[in-house]
Amino acid sequence: MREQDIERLMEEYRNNVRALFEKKSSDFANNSSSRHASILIEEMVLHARRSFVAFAGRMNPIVWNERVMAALADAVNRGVQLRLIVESECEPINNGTMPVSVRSFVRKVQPQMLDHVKAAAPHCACGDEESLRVETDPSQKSAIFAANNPEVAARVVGIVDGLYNMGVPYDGAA
Amino acid sequence: MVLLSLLASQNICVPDWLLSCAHFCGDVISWCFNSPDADRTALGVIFALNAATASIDSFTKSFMESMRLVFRNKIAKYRDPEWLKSVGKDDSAVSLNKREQLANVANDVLVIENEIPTLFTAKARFWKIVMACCAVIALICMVVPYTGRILTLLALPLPLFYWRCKSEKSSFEAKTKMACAEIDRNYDRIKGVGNEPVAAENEDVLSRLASIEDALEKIGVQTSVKARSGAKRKSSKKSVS
Repeated sequence: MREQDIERLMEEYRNNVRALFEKKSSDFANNSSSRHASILIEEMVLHARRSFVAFAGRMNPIVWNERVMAALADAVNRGVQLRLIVESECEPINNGTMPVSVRSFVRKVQPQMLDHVKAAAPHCACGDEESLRVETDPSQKSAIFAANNPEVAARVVGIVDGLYNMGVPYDGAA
Repeated sequence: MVLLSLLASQNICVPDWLLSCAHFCGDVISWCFNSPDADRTALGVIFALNAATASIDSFTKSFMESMRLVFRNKIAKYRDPEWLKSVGKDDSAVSLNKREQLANVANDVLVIENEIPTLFTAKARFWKIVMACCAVIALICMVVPYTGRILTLLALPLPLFYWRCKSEKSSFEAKTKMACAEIDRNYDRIKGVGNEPVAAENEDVLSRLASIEDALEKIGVQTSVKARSGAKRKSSKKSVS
């Protein structure tokens, strides 16, 4: 299998995700690789009109790649409210790929709570309190995704907001 | 060799290859010490080394070719247009699940396709270098008298090299078998018509989120849904009182 074949499959996957957004589907789909996660998050950000929130670990650069960063910067320009919380380090900030306009929306978990939060909360993201992605098994990098499921999305936003409100600015002291 | 013959005479099962090996070693040792001059011994070593090198070379080549064939067949299955048509083409989440799995399978195949020849080529190259060094030493012993006899004895572990190569082959075969089984499982799962259920139901996800909220609450994180439901509970209690 050539790399181009995989790229083609990824583009097909992206088109299918877009179709789910257009249909406002509330069904859950599986997601079990970093490349798929990246596509899902990018599409969630691109489709967000009001808000995008995420609890994103260290922001794995394979998932939170340059395309996702560009989508986040675009979302800020559109007036979308961002709330991004990371565990301790934020790799896109450390390696300079996160746009300056996005950085101010990043917070990190209070250091003294880090271990507890890691154990309790899965990585998750939510757009407009409608679309959502929640990790189900971090070791397998698997997650579930829905394009439009307000009932579940509201709970995900609640979790991220809880962590965000307890968090500290990324560059600030705890 | 004497011990093996004794075991065989007592009807104790001794593998044929072990007997052959013992006979071969015995022959080489006796020939080596009865050889009239060192040059003949050295020629024998060169011959043995060349034969071993050639056999390992052809062994690795045929093995790699067989592995390639296995994967070519696997990949051909995933390139079959009829099969690709059978993978969901509609806009449903079920179809999305199938496509995601298809991409993962493709990625697995790509990884294995690249990994096996690379690893095995590296191993084969190592053994070829070992053999080439042995051949150079054998050439030296052609001009230095009597060292040939000693080197002939040293060359006796050559079958070990072959055995080592064979064990590498077994481990690669096992790895290939496992990878192929995994690919087959994915293939069967994807190919089945309508057998891929939606990943989860709302209730399952909500109950999982509720347990996450509880765990976070225990460490002092107030999720907004919890806060809202708590406020609701308080207000409803007030109205009752």
